[in-house]
Amino acid sequence: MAVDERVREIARGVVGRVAPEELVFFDAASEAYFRDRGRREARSGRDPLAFGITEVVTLVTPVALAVSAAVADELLGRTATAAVDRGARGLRWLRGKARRAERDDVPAELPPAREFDEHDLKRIRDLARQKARALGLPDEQVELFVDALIGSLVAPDDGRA
Amino acid sequence: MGVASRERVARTAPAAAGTPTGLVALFLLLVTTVVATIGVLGLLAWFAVDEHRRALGDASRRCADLEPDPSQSLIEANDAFHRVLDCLAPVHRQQAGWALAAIAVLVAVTAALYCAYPGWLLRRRRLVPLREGGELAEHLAELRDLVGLRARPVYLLGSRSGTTDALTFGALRRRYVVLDAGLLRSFTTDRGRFRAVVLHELAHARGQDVHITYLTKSIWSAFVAVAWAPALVGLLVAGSWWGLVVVAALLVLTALVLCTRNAILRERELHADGVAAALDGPGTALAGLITDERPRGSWRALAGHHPSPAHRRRVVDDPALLLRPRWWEAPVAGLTTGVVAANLGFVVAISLPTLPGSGRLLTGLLTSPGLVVPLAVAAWRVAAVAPARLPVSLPVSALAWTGAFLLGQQVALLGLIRVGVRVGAPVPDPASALVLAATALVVAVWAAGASRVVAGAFDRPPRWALPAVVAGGAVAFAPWFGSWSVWSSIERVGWWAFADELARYELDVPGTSSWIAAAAHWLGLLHVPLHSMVFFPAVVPVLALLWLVPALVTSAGRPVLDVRRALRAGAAGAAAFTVAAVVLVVAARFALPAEARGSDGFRVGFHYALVDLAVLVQGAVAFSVRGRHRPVLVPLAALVSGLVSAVVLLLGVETLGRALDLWQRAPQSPFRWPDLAFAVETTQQVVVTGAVVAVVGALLGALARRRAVPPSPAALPAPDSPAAPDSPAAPDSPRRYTAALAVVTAATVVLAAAAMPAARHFWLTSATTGVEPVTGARCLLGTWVERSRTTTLTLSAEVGPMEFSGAGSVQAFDDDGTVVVQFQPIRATGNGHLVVLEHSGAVTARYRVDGDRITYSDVSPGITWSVSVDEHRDVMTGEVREFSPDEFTCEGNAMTQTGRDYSIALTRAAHHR
Repeated sequence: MAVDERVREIARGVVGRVAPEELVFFDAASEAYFRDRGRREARSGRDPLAFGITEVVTLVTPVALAVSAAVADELLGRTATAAVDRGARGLRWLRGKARRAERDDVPAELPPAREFDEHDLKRIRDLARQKARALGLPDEQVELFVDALIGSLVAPDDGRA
Repeated sequence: MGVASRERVARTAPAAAGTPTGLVALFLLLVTTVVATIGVLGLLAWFAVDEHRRALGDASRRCADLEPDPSQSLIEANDAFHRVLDCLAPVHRQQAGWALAAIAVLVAVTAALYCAYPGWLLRRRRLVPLREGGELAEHLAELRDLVGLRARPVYLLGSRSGTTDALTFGALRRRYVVLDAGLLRSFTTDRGRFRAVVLHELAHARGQDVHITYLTKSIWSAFVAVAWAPALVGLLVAGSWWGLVVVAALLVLTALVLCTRNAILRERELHADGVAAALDGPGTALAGLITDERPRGSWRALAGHHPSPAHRRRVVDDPALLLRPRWWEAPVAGLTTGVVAANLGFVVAISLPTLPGSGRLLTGLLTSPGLVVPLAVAAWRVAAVAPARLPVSLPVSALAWTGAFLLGQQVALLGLIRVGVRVGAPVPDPASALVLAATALVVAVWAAGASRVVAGAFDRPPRWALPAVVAGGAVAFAPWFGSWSVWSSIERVGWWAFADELARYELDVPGTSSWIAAAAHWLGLLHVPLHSMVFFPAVVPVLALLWLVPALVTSAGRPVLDVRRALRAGAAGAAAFTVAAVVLVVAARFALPAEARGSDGFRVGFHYALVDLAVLVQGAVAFSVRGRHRPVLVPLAALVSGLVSAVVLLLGVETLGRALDLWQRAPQSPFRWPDLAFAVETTQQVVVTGAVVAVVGALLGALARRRAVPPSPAALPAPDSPAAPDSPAAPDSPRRYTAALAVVTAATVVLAAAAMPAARHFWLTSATTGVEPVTGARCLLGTWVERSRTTTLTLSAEVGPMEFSGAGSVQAFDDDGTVVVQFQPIRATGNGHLVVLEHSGAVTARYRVDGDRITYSDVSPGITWSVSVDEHRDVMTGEVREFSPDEFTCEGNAMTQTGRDYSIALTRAAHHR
C-alpha cells in the first residue's frame, strides 16, 4: 500500500538519522511491523533454548515505525493507529471494521513532502513527542527523534545521506 | 590464566571444538529411560486385561513341567531353560507386542512434535527472514566458514523490543538462527559481542546439536502425553493401590526424565560456549555476556535449562574443560547400554527361541558399541588434553561403566518382568562382572593408546580420525563382548574344562610315569568361553584393527607409530617358539619309549603343550614391547608371533616329527594332517588365547618397568606437550613396513575365510549346548532298531542291480545333533551267489532335520564297508564317507526312512533321556 511505503520511508529516515546502526535489520523489522500491526508482539521472555542474555537495549526502529504510522494516521484523519490500538481481540476486530469503513472516507495518499504548514508541523511534532514518550523512548532522545521525524517527513532522503 | 595455561588452551581449544562431549550419552539415557518406561507401561496395560492374566496363568502352569531341576547337568538345564522360553514364547510375544505398540505411539508423537517445532516457533514468535546484505552478509558467511557449517542457515529477526538474545532451531536439514534486533544493533556498535553470540549459535547449528535439542523437547512432551494420560485414566478407572504404586513410580521416572532433559539442555549450552570461545580465540567477548547472577540453589542447578554463569565462564576461559570426561558420563553410558542390552536380549530371545546362543551373540554384537564408543571418546578427549599420560580417570570410567551396565541390566524390562512375576531379579555372576570389568579396562587402555598415537601424528587430527578409531575399536571388541554376552547369560563366564574330558579322549601315555599323562591332561585345560572365540570367523582380522586402524590413520600424518618394534618382537617370539618346539620334539623322540610316542595320549598332550607354549610366548612378546604406544603395538606383536608360531606348529613340527619318527605310527589319531579345519582351529586358538595372555604380559611389563626405572623428570616428555615420537629416531616404518603389515593383514583375512565353515556349524547350532535346532523332529530323538531295510545296489555292471535286505541295525539320534548307526549285515543273492555287505564298526555323524528330511554331515572317519561273495571276503571295500539324505516319517514309536534306492522301517527301542 502506498501509505505503508511512505510510513516505511519516513521511519527509515528517522532511523537513519537517529540510530543508523539499526538499519541492518530495518527492512525485516518493518516487514514484521506491517504484517503484525495491531497485534501484541510475541512474548519476549527468556527462551529456555536461547543464549540467555538478559540485557535489553532501547531501539529506535519500533518507535520510529509506530510514530510514523501514527503521524500518517493523523495526517489522513484517522483517530487511532494499530500500534497504540491494543485491546482485546474481539474489540480489535470491531475497531478493524470501523477503521476500514473510516479509511474509505479518507484520502489514500499522504501530502507530498514540503507541503506541510507550520500548524501541521506543530501538530505532528506534538503527536510524535507524545507517542515517542509513550513508547518508552528516553527523554534525551525524544527531541532528536522528533526533529528527525520532521526532517524525514519534509525531506525524505531515507536517512542514508 | 597463566602462560602455560594459555598455551594449553591454545593447543587444545581447537580439539574441543571438534570433539563430542557427554551430550550424546545423556541423550541416549533419555531415550532409553523413556522408551523403557513406555514399554513397561504398555506391558502393564497388557496385564490389565483379565483374559491376558488368565492366559499367562495357564501358560505358566503348562510350562512349569519343563523347568530345569538342580540335578540336571549344565547342558540339560540350559536346554530345559530354552524349552521353557519356547513354551512361553506366545505369551511373551503378546506382551512384547503391547510394549512395542506403546513405544510406536511414543515414536509417532515424538516425530510429529519434532517436525512441527520449526513451524510452530516461526508462527508463535512471528519471525521474519532477515535479509542480510552487504557487510552483514559477508560477516555471517565468514563466521559460518569459521564454524565449519556446510549448509547456510536461515537468519531470522527475533524480538524487536530491544532484547539482545539469540536462538537456534530447526529440523531435519534446515537450520534457523534467530537474532534479536538488539543483538543485530551490536553488529555496528559492538562487533565483538555480535561475533561471539553468532558463533555460539552457529556452534548449535553445527553437528547434531539441533537434532538432539529438539528431539529432547519432543521426547519430553511425547513422554508426558503418552505416559501420563493413560496412567491417570487407569488410576481413575481402576482406583486400586496397584495403580497408585504405578503412578508413584511414574512420578519418580518423570522427575528423572525431566532432570535428564534439562541436563541435555545445559550440556548443549556449555558445548556451544566452548566451541564459540575456541573459535573466537583469546579475548572473546563471550564471558562478558554471561551475566545472569541470580542465586542458584541446588534445585535450580539440577532443573535449570542453562548452566550456572560461573560454569559457563569457566568453559569460555578454558574450552579444553569440555574435553575432560565428567564423572557421570561413563555411568550414564553403562546404564543405558545395560538397559538396551537386556531389553534387546529379551526381544531376540522370544523372537528366536530355538537359537539361544546365537540370539545372545547377536545382542552382544549389536550393543558392543555401547561399551567401546563412550570409553574411546573419553580417551580421545583425554589424549587431546594430556597426550603423554594415562590419567586415572579412564580406568575409573571403565569400572564405573561396568557397574552401571550391570545395574542397567537389573532395571531393564526383563528384570522388571521377573520382579513382577515374583521370580526375582537376576543377580550378576561374579565371574561375569570381573571379566566385563577387565574387558572395559582393556578397551579404555587401548583407546588411550590409539588416541595418543593419533594426537602425536597430527597438530589437529582430521575430522574422520575419531570416527575411524572409535569404529575400529567397536568392531575389534565386538566379538569379545558378544562372547561375554553369550556366556554371561547362562552364568558360565568362569567355565574351565579339560579338553580331553570335553572330547572324551583317554589320555593314557603307556610306558611312562604317570605324571606325563597328568601333564597331558592339564595342558589341555581350556577356558571354554575363550575357546568358543575360536569359532568367530572374523575374530583375528577384527583383532588386527587394533593396530591397523591407528596405523592407517597416522599414515596421513607424522610417522609416530614404530611398527618395526612390534614386527621385530613378534618375529623374535616366533623364533623362540620354533627353537623351543624343536627342542621338545627332539627331547620327546629320544626320551620317551616308542610305545608312549605311538599313543593318542602323547599325540594330544604334545599338541596342547605346543599350543600352550605358543600362547605363553605371545605373553612374553607383549611383556617385551615398550613405549607409550604399547597398547597399539602389543596386538600387532602378539598377532605376528601367534600366526608364525601356529604355522611352525602345524607344518614344521609335523614334518620334523615325521622325519624323526616321533609319532611312531601312521597318523590315525584325530589330528590327521593335512586337516584344514584342525589347522584353522589351532591357529585361531593360538592367536585368540595369545591375545588375552598378551594383555597380561603387557600389564606385567608396564608394572615391571615402572618399578625398575623410576621416572625422572628429564626422561619424561613434558606433560602437556604434543606426543613425541615413540622412539628416539622418528620412524619411517609406516611406509617401509607397509608390505609386512599387508601380509599380516592378508593372513588374518585368509584365516577368517577358512574358519567360516566351522563357525557356521558352531553358531547355527546352540552356542551353549551344541544342539541342532531340531524343531518339529522331537519324535526322532531316541534309539531305533531297523525292522527291515531294503537297498538296491549295483556293485558291478556285469551283475547289475541287486536288492539287499536285512534288519537289526541300530540308529541312535541324540539331541546334541549326533547320530550313531550300528550296522548289521545286509544280504542279497545274484547268479546263485550270496553277497553280504557289512561295516567295520559304528558310524557317528551329525544330523540336521529340515522338515521331513534328515541330512547328514561330518561322518566319522575310519569305518569301512566290505562286500563278501560266498566265502570270499573283502571282494570290495571302501571307507564310509557320507550318508545320503533321508525322507522320513515319525510318529510315536514308528519311523520310516526312504531314499532314492532304499527303504527302512524302524521301531523305537528307547526314548531319549
